[in-house]
Amino acid sequence: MSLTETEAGSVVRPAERRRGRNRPATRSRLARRRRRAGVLLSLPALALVVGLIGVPVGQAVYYSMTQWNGLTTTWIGPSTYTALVKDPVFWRVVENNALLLLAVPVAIGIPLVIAALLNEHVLGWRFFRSVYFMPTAISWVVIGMFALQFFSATGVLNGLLAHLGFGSSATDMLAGEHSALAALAITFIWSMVGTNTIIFLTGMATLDPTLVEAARVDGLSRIKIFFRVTLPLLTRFIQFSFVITVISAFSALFSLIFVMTSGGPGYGTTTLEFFIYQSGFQQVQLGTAALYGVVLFVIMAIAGLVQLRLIKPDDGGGW
Amino acid sequence: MAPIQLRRKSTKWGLLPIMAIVAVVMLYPFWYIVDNAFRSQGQFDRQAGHSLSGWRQLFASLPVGGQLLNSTVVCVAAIAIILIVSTTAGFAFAKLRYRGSGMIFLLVVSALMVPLQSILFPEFVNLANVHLTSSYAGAVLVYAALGTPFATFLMATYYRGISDELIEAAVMDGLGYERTFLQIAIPLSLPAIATITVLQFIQIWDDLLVGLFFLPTSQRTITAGLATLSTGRTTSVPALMAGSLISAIPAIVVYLIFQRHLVKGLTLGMGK
Amino acid sequence: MARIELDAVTKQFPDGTTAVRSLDLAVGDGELLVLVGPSGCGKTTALRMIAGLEEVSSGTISIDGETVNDVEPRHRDIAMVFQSYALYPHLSVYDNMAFSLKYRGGVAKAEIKRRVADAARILELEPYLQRKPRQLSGGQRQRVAMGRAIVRQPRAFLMDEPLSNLDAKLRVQMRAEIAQLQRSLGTTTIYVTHDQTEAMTLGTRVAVISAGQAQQIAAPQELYRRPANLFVAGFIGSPPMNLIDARLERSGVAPGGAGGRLGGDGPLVVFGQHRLPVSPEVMRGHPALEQYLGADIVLGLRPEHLNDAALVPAGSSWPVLELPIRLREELGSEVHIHAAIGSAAHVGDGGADDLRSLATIVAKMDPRTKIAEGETAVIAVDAGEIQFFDRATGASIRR
Repeated sequence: MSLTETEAGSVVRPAERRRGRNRPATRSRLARRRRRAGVLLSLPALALVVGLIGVPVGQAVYYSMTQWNGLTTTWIGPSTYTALVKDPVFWRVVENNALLLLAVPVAIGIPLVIAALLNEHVLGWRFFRSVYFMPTAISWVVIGMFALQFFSATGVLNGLLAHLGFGSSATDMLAGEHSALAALAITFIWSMVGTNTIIFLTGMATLDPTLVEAARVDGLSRIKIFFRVTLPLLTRFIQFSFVITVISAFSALFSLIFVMTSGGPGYGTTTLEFFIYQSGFQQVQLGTAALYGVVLFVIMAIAGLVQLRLIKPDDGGGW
Repeated sequence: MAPIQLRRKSTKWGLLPIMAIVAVVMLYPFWYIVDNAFRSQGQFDRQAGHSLSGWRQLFASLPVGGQLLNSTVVCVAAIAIILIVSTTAGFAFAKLRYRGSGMIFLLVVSALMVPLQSILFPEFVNLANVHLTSSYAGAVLVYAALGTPFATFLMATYYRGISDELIEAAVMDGLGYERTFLQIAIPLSLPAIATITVLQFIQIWDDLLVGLFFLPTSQRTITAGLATLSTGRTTSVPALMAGSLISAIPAIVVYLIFQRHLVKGLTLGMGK
Repeated sequence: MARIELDAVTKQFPDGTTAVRSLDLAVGDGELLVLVGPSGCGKTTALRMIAGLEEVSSGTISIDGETVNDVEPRHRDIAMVFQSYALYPHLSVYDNMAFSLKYRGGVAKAEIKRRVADAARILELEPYLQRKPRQLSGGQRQRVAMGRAIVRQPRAFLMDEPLSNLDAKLRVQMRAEIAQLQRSLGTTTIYVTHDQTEAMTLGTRVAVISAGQAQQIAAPQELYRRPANLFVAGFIGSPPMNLIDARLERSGVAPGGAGGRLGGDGPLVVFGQHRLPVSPEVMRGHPALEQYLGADIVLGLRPEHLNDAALVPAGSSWPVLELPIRLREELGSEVHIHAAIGSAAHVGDGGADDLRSLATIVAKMDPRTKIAEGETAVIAVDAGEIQFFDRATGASIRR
């Protein structure tokens, strides 16, 4: 039985109506008890969320329009936002986020293929699924540790290249601004493989197998079936994965950046989320940190809203 | 009539090598970490030989045991709060619907959209002002607040699946709603509770930002400790590898035992 | 157009279950062969093997003389209509039907358009071409599934219970349409169903399958009038054939029959206190019965061969049974009388649920009958139509 929202958010409970017709006295008493219990039980969560998330959001909005160093606050006003738009540093940082977006299709495409392979259920596929999903249990810090060693001048990557005969292409990816971002992106993609593969595998499991069988009998090659039947049917899952990947790229890479590059070289790997930390922690410009924080929040909110729309498709109802 | 071609029976088995290669790509980092955790710096440079020197360095540079303990305390405390708060609220939103509960539910769940970084400094200042940043309390509260939205969503979804009649029957039998919750709803929702526990454990154990910011150095988690160690740039790589290994093991163990729950948590989040 | 042959085809699944046992089947060019049997009998598995969706454990499947065991489904030039229709939800009706032609290659755009238009016309889908499957009714979806198969102009159709998701009335209507369609197209068709009525009305020939084995493959009438064994006897026909455990005695006296006296010596079928004489003509028509004198057999009597003794035409010599009446069902054009025969009822293992009789036999009677529930009535038996079956093997006793 789903929650039915009538006008102004009030709730209808058919069972209660039934009781009401027979015993009016009990009805109001029971209803009151239920209401009281409901309020009581949902209070802790509300308090926690409002207190530790809601209030700080409001504060962040306030402080975003001030100059703040943790002790003294100087009000500036909404002009901080207009100044932001003219600030080249802002655009440099946003550029990094935008470049990271380029990694998203790859972070989705590779898992799609892997999920398709797993979906064939070749012997041992469950073992492989476990293995592919394991990196999700690992801290970004640990992943960053390895990535550091992988991309360094004396690291695994160069060792591999030398092994394959491309020794002359040895690079120190973490030394260049854009190459460091690329290293970050590659590490990010690697980490997202597990999560996205599971999403797509779950999606493929929900597909009606007769659709693929029908296509097989009708004469399509496996590749054609993948692109013309499986993929279109996975649209919702691809959308979901897209949103999750973008959200991760913008708000979950802090540890990676912290360990791998500290935002550098220069502004090379300073994404929005890291810049917030930098302005606040290193430059003690807490107002600026709040400002960028609000920008990040707005982006995340948009992404979150998009996701909400995706989870509740046409049928409405529910929450 | 289409020409008849024989099926390549080997297609299914040809996938194995590819999957094996992918597995290697996924597992190599672990192997690297394990391999190099047991080296000295010199051995690391030469990529040959093994010793425990890296471990000695690690334990010399970091109060490993203490930090592991800190991580555990923080995880347990935060998860406890999350479970209490999300089961009660989830139950309330799913079964004890009252006027406005739908909107409040939306409000709680929408907190998912707020990235920690956006509220980081206001949060810190707030908690520092009430002296909660000189102990576990601050970080625990922040972790709890961050984990509550999704956990509440999960619990509410789960409770929605329990028939209303079950609750009504208990109420008819004389149990108040609160006791119904404790004695009927909770036992029935153990799978969801397990899922949340596993998800949150991995998330909190592996987290850096909160640990770095809201904990005093003496109560630092292993993940935060490891991160600060690495930025020090004076520590040998094997020590860092050893640190990585020791901080990763609990999470991996939990993963291996409770994989199903992780997957379920993810799929439930998809709105299935 | 194609001939399809199955030669000792067996399918064993990895978990050990044998779904199909040494099935031999030959479908002639242009024929509509129906595979019918209860759920789980292996008919769908057999169909899927013909389609190439399941691997054959042993035996060969050949189309037009060429063995196709190792040929991929898409190269077999067969079209399949699935029970769930398998329509692509994100495509319109038109795109669904054109799908395979577009992506299989080899068909020009104009030709695709023409074929889809033709199929849409035949199936009366023209007003729905731009709709998505979720906007269609069950019957319309079913027709789209058929349309998708038709446009391919394959050499054979495979249909897996295409009508079982439709309501009864629609099913009857679509049955006729499918039959007409197949006849006008002339394409070889293999049709799977669990509904024996469908099988009887559609098939040129019908293969009755049980537990993975073909029980009998013959034209509908043949299955009805000369079932090869107990399973077929009990499966085909509604209400099902009455099956009675009896003994074939060498000689004895039978009570006088309806419409005249019947007495004297001769073989008797005995069950409970009932005796039915076996006339010399019947013995002549079933020479093998000789070997069963004195043995246990199973009697088969179709409901329409039992009638109210009072309504039997005078002069005919039908033996009778006196039985207590349990139930009288009014069907308008006929009356079904359920008469108790106690422990003599034959309860088969496996086969249709109809065989689990409640110790009654059913008689299809003239609606004028006055037989009522609760009384003991005299029921006349058309002894010439009695079927005999070996109690141990279930096989029909004929020649």
